Amino acid sequence: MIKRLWNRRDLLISFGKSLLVAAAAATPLKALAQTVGLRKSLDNAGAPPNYDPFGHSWLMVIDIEKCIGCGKCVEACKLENHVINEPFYFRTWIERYIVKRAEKRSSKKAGEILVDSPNGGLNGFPPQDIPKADVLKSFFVPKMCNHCETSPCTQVCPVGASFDAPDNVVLVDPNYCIGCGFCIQACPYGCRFLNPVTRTAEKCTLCYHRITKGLKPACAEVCPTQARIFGDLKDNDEDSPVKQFIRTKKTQVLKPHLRTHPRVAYAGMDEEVG
Amino acid sequence: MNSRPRKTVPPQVTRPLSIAAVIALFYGVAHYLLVPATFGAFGHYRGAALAELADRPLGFAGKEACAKCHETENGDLAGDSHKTLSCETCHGPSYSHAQNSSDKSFTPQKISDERFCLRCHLRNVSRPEKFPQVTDPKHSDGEPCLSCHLPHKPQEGP
Repeated sequence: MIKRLWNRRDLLISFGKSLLVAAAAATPLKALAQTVGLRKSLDNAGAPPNYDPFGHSWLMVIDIEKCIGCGKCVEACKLENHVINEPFYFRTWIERYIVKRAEKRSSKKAGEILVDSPNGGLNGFPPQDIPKADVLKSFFVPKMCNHCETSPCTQVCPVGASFDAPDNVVLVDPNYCIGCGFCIQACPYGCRFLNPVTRTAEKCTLCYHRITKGLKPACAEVCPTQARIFGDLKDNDEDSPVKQFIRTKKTQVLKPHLRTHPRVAYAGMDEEVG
Repeated sequence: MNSRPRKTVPPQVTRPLSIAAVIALFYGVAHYLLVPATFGAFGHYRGAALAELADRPLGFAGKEACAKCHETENGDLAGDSHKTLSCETCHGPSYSHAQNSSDKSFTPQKISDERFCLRCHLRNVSRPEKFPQVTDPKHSDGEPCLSCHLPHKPQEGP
């Protein structure tokens, strides 16, 4: 009779045991290695020099009641980020809403709603030829990437080129993007486009090259009425403009029903804006 | 012969193990060759992308950089209704000038065109009511804006 050293039962049991032991040992070790190793060598991991991506949480707030539609932000974004001028692609743009009056004795709150954005607002807005008496209200809405906390665009990226950075900025790695365009379809705000030269997805980076050096994004820098306010929620200044803004103003976000949790908040936004 | 227990691992164990080892080795080599060094450092992406995106040339220097040399203009601006403007709102991106003002190959834009004022101040029903707007040409009788208003001190004038 053959006496076996290894029978199937023992082998399976010992294999299972060793797996359990390995898993139990690996989890805390991996966590320890991640926290210690990562924080120690942020530079080796690819963080910008002298910048801790875990130490910031950026937020942009936009006051619609202050926007005059001059288009300086659109122009500045194009200049700073070398966004292709024509055909018209934008990382930020301005929309003009004109809400017409409802007909007299009608039950409607408002009449026709006209939305336009000539050249994205790059050259400002020419006065429209609608008589003032017909306009119920009109306003400008600057639009840009909302840097969502639960971003639909990063979830669909098949290669990990589009991602949520630890400082609450949604970014695209142009050297890793394959240009499939899934993220462009996934963005409910239409904030992405395919760069026709590089054939990669492109979007607002909150001027990542500026904010990592302590500067404001170009659009917030040039805004003449300070309709755009930018700041860090993790800094120590409790009276920074952005914190004052969210404390004193009633803000809302675009398309809240999609639960994308945007990091661009609007004050004075009307219900027509989508 | 048959009664002695065999000490070797039977082939039904060694074969799958060796196949598994080959697969693991192949995976290891492929992972080493194909996955970038910093992939996964912060999440499911290349960590080095952060540094690469941050390492791009600046265009706008920021108001503080301008104020270091242009004290008078900055003071004038701060005391009047154009105080919310950044220098580069009108004068354009000037980082290279702020870094090296002696280099005259680039100088910030000078404003002389009247249309420049009107880009913000021409009456437009979409602008906020309180924002100062003019309906050309009634406001000035055809006089250029700059004959009454200084851009740095719009309320005072020349």
